Amino acid sequence: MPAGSTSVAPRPESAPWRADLGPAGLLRMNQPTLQRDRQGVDYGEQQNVQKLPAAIRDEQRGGLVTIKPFSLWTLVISGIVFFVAAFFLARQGADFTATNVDRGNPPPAQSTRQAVQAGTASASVVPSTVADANAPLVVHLAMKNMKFSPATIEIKKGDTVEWKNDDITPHTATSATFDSGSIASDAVWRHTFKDAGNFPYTCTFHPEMKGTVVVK
Amino acid sequence: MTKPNMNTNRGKPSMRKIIALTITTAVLAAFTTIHAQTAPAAAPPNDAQIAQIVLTADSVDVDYGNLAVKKTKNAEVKAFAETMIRDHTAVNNKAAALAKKLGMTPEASDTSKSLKSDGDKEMAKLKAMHGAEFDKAYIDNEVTYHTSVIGALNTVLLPNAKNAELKALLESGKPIFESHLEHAKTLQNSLNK
Repeated sequence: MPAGSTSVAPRPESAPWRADLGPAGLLRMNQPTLQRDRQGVDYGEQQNVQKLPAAIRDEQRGGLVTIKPFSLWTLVISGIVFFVAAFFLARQGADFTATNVDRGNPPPAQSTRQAVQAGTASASVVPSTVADANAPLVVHLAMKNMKFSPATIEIKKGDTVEWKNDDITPHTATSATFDSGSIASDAVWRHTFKDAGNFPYTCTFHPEMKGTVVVK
Repeated sequence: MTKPNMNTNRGKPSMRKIIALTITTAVLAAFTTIHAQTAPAAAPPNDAQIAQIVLTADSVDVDYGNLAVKKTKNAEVKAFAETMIRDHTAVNNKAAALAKKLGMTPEASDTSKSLKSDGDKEMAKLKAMHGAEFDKAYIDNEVTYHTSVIGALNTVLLPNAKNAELKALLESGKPIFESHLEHAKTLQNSLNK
């Protein structure tokens, strides 16, 4: 049977594996060959009849590529919807890498607060309401390879900075107004900045390690 | 017509040949021996030897640090010495833990032995000193020592380390030793004023 023709003709029992049967014919090839040997009523055709309308629809569409059970139409529309959603979310300035501010080569004096808030916003597909733009945050800072990373951070009054020791040697975060004492390897230390100002600090064990917390 | 065979010495090596061979062998043997004595073959260290070199290098500096904490009257020198003890003990603990994890027994080598013997010699010198003279000698030694340890790390230990975790440990040690060197140099400058 030529490919693409409608599939109402009886199944050729003698040649169940013919490849030129078209999509509907391929459906019929799923029938077990034993049916050929069945006596009495041949239920094979009834099965074919149930499948046929869909098969006919497929054939009439010219056998377009699609992922069953979704129709091509569904896929196209959802693709456009996702694209547009991502486009507008990105325009909002969502920083998809936000909350944790320590990087290999972080930009100096980055506005971590904005980054963290944008990060929160981008986490969900549906933009959720960011509760309060001034809610206090915990900003993360790493001590890695004998450096504070990032060396300078900007936060708001009331925010907390969390120092994490990613080195194998102990470190401190010490300034005129705060002193962490010895922070062991893998341990953290937090300090909440209640006052605005510039807070330069250092590690008392390694004086060449220097950082600054800028509190606005 | 075949030429008459003029080699009357058929089969037997001639006296001349024997003498020539003997002299050549003797000269080559002598040359090899002399060469070996002046330039002993230094095979690159294996991982077990690298681990021991790290352990020895750290222990030597911890010993220097313990001596300095006891002897010095200078607060900055004392703080530096305490950092040396803290940091080198931490690196040593990591190295020992890694060796245990890898089922590796650290192996002594010429390098680790000479590190230990040089360390012992320097300790004897420092023990005999006091006050400002001690501080200066201690810090000067720390600068020299860390410079050579960093050099060994870059030229011998890191290039020859095979195990990835050992290599990572050595890499993490580099910034530590470099920061120590910087710290020591700053102190050296202030002590020389």
